[in-house]
Amino acid sequence: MSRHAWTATSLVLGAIMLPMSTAFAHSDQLAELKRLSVDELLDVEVTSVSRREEDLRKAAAAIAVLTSEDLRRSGATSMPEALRLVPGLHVAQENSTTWGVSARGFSSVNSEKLLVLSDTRSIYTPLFSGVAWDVQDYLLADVERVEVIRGPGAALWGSNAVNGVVNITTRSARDTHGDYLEAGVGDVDRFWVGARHGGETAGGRHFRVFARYFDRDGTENPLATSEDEARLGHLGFRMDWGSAEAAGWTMQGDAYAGDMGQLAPVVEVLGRPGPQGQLTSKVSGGNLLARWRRPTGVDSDLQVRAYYDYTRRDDPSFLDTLHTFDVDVQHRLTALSRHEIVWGVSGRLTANSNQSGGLFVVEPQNSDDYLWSGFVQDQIALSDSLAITAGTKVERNDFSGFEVQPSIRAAWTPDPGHTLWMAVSRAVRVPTRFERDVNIDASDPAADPLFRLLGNRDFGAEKLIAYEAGYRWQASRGLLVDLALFNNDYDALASLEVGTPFLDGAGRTVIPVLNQNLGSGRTRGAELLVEWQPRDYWRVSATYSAIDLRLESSGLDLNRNAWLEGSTPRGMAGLRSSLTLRNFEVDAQFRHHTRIRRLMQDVSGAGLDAYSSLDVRLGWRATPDLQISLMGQNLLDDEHVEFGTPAARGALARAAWLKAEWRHE
Amino acid sequence: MRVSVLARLALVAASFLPALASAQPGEYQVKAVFLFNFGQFVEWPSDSYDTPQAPFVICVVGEDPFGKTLDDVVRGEAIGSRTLVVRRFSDADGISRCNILFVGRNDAGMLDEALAAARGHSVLTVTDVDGAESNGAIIVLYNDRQRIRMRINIAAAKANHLVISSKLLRPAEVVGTEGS
Repeated sequence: MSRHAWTATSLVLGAIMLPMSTAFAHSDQLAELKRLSVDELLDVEVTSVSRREEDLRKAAAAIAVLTSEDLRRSGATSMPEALRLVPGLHVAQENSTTWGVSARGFSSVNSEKLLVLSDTRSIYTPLFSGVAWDVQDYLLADVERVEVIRGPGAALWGSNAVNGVVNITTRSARDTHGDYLEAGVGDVDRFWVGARHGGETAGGRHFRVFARYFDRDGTENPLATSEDEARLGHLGFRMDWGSAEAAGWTMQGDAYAGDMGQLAPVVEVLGRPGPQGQLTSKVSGGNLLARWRRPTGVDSDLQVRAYYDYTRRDDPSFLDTLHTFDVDVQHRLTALSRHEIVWGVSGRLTANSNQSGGLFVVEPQNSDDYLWSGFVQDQIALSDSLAITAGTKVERNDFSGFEVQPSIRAAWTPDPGHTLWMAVSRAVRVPTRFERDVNIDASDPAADPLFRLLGNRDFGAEKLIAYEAGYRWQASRGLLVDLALFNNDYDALASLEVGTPFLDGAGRTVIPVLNQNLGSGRTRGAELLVEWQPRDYWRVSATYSAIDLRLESSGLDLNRNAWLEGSTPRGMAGLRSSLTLRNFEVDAQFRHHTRIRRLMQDVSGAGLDAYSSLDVRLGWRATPDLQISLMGQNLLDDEHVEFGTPAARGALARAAWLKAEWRHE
Repeated sequence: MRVSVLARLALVAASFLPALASAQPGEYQVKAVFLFNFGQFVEWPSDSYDTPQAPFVICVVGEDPFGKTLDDVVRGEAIGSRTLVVRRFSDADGISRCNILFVGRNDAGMLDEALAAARGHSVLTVTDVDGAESNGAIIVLYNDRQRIRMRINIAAAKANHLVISSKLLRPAEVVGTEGS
């Protein structure tokens, strides 16, 4: 028998034997539980289904949740890596420090149409509209869950929640008593260490303090003269106290500092020299958040939350600092037994300073911008099986003025296993500091006439009307099918245009180039998730998403914004398996992205090839307190690229790491 | 070559699988076993059964969080000479014939109605709605981080003519004692 024939035979045998030999596992476990005494039963650790999860099953939105178990078993060492598990999200790593995370098209490293909240604190920056993923550091072991809503969430969360919202929630200090220590070494993630200590003070205050440090190797790029290595240290704490019946308090904070290498300058202008040599951004920041929540009756509560956030980025091309102050009040109440009403008001001040490194300036250098908003949402239970959720956010911001972002959603749950939902929503993406205040000489500064890229105070918000529908089917305890469909109509998209020429102080002709709302477009797509748990110890999930994008501009569109339609793969597929065998865990994740047709930033109009990737993680619980894991990443090829221009993108190599985790309660 | 090694591993793993148990049982597997155990640690008055052959009845009112787990737990089991059966009710009508009655927190809206219907009858009311002991539930199974805890309202048990064994009371948090 040839080797190939033998292989095929044993694979088939394995596939048949696996289900047959395990048919009794469920009842075996029950029999084992029945042998336990009451005291022993009280000591069994269980996995629980939260009220939240039950609500999610009936939610009228395309929502996906990563649990702490998902995060742990993904082997992700950073938040954007973990987001690769979410169906329909396009996560593309450009280099060691830059990721593009996008939902439903418009993929770019700015991810401008995706709102990201960390324990309700917005980490979407108003400078370039997007998330600086390189400084979003987490001790992933203390993250409780990540909820991802694809589609607009603006009626609740406000502007920029256009194509999606990511809600990262860390665990309560009540749930992180004891010590935790992790250390890892690898060839890309060269070295990292994390530690946490938690407990309860004599006064009943639960607390934890934690620290983390990582050192990540750069990626390969033969064109680059600079390395994109990354290093970051992070300290944080969280306290929770009070009670659910009276008043509950949370206080938390972080501080971090690091060095983020770059392959190429963040801003390049043809024909003008940019920063040379090794390019490294010195990043630092911190935040402090306090939350107070008091029940005001059955199924109603009042919450006040305030935070301060500081970020500083000392980049070779600019020095940017941002202070954010945010206060938010929310009241949830039930009325007339059928209505669950949530309303709230909030105010935010962003005090930004951007000091030029020479190539461009942001004028004025310092800007204080205010955002005032209010929202109300009513979830009406029309019958046991039909619920309507209607709501709107109304806000006033210093970039585009008044914005109204309503949504109406309906969920029909004829029985607990089936949910059919539909939604229509409006959402906007507000302009950024760069779009409003930038000033770049786009040709030789001595030339006459001179092309100058200028911010445009008349540039308004980009607008979306989204039509969505979905079907969720919990076929059995072990099988979930979740399908979402969308049709998004965009209007007033950014398009870079030539303005009216004028004479500057020196009598030269300046031809202004500025953003106008001349773009429009339509995207359509489907996202499918199938989760199957054939056995208590084996979980499989499959995801597939497809999208079609049409973007156009009625103007010149000098910056090729319409090319954004090419930057999202038309199809993405994923397959994931998690197997637990006594003290061992075997996790495998496969993904395939179809080609990127072209990248907006790449003048040549070139795209990137399709790619497939496989990650495998082996976990071994050596003792109840100690877990060792081994991870292999990008196993299918020596290296591949995922995103970015030829100068800015790095090749992601096959890699491995080894990690030890020790926890003691 | 790599493929054939993987295949061999799969074959070896498969032959060991029957002996394996999963890492963590589900919350409602453990709660189902609790319900079963309560039948052995609580005494019902003899007049709570119509006939000497009447089965011991565990009822789930409202949305059932157990799936088929509860049926699996009681299959082939008996309390004394009585067989165990599971019945499901969409509302509180007719629940006074239940020995144990469970209301899940996924359908907490049913709680007050079910407790009212059970009051004064020899029905052991159990729920996992946290804090329900103050509404008159007899046993509350609540989650404390990853473990399940038990709170017993002894006054409510007395009102329903039930005697709870010290084996159950000792590890539980007891409320509703005289003078409290």
